[in-house]
Amino acid sequence: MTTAVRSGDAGAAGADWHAVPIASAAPREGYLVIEREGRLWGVAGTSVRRLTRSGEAASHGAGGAQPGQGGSLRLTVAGGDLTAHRVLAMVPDLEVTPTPGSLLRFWPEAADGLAVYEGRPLVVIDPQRPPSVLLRGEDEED
Amino acid sequence: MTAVSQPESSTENTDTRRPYLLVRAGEVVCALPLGSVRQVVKALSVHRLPGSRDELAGLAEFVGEPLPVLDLARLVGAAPGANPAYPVTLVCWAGHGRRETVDAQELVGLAADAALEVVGLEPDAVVAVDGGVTAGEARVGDDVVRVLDLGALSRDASRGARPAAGSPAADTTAEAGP
Repeated sequence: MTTAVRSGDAGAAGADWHAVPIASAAPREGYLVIEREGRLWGVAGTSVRRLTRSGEAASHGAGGAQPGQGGSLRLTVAGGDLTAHRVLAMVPDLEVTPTPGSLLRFWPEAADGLAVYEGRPLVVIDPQRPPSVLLRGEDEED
Repeated sequence: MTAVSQPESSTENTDTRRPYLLVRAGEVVCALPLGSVRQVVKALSVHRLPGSRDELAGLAEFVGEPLPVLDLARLVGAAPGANPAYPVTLVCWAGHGRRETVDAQELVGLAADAALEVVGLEPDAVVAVDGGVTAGEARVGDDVVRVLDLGALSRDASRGARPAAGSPAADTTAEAGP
C-alpha cells in the first residue's frame, strides 16, 4: 500500500513539516516501535491514521536534511500528533503485559501496556491519550 | 544473581517469626517479607520515563519481561547516603504476596544499596505506622528497620492514570511465606 500524503496535510502545527509520500504509511496489523530521545515506544498499527516525515522533502533541491538524517516522523493517532526521531521496526506482534500498578502510581500517563523489543523495555501507548512527551515538538526536548 | 528461597519449615513448627530480607537503601534499612522477594540481581539497566516521579527509577528488562524499577531510598523517604549508585536490584512481587497466587501478582524492581541478611520477626514486634509502603517499624539488634508492604504499591494505583485491565487491585496485604 502506498499512501500519498499531500503537503499541508501534516497537522495543525505543520508549517515546518514537509509531508511526503510514505509507503505503507498506516500499518493495519502489529506495532510500530518508535524512538524518541533514546527511548522506545510502541504504537498499535491500527491506531496510526497518518505517518508523515519532515526534512526529506526539503532536501530535494533545498539543501535540507538527507533521507534518514535529521528528519523526524509525525504519527497521527486519535489523541494527537506524535513526534518521533525514527521508526525502529514494525513488528507483527509484541508480548504486551498490563501496565503495572507500581508504574501507574509514579507515572501520570495512560498506557496500553509494557513490552520488550530487542532487550529494551518500552511503553505501548494509549492512542487516545498518548504521553505528553511524544506530543511535544522537536524543540521541546526534556 | 541470587535466587531467594524460603527457609525450610519443620513439621512441628511453633516458631511464629516471619522471615524478612533486610535491605539497605541509603541511610535506612528496610525489611522485605521474604516471600515477596523473587531474586536479587546486579543493578539492572534502567530507562527513565519522562515525566515520572522521582520514586520511579525507570523501566528495565528482566528475563525478557518489562519491569518497573523503583528507587527504594526515595520510596521510603530516606537520605540517599554516601553511595547512591544502588548496585543491586531486588525483583519483588508487589500485591498479594502469596506464593500460590504468583500469576496474579506483578513484579517490581527495587534499586538498593545491598541485601544484608534474612531475619525472623515476631508479628507483634512490628509497630504499625501509616506510611504508604512502610507498613511498620521493628527493632533488629540495635537498629530500627522499616518493614515494607509492597502491596500498597498496587492498591494505590488508582491514584495514577488508568489502571490496565488485569492489573492486581485487590486489597490484600503482603505476607511472608510459611
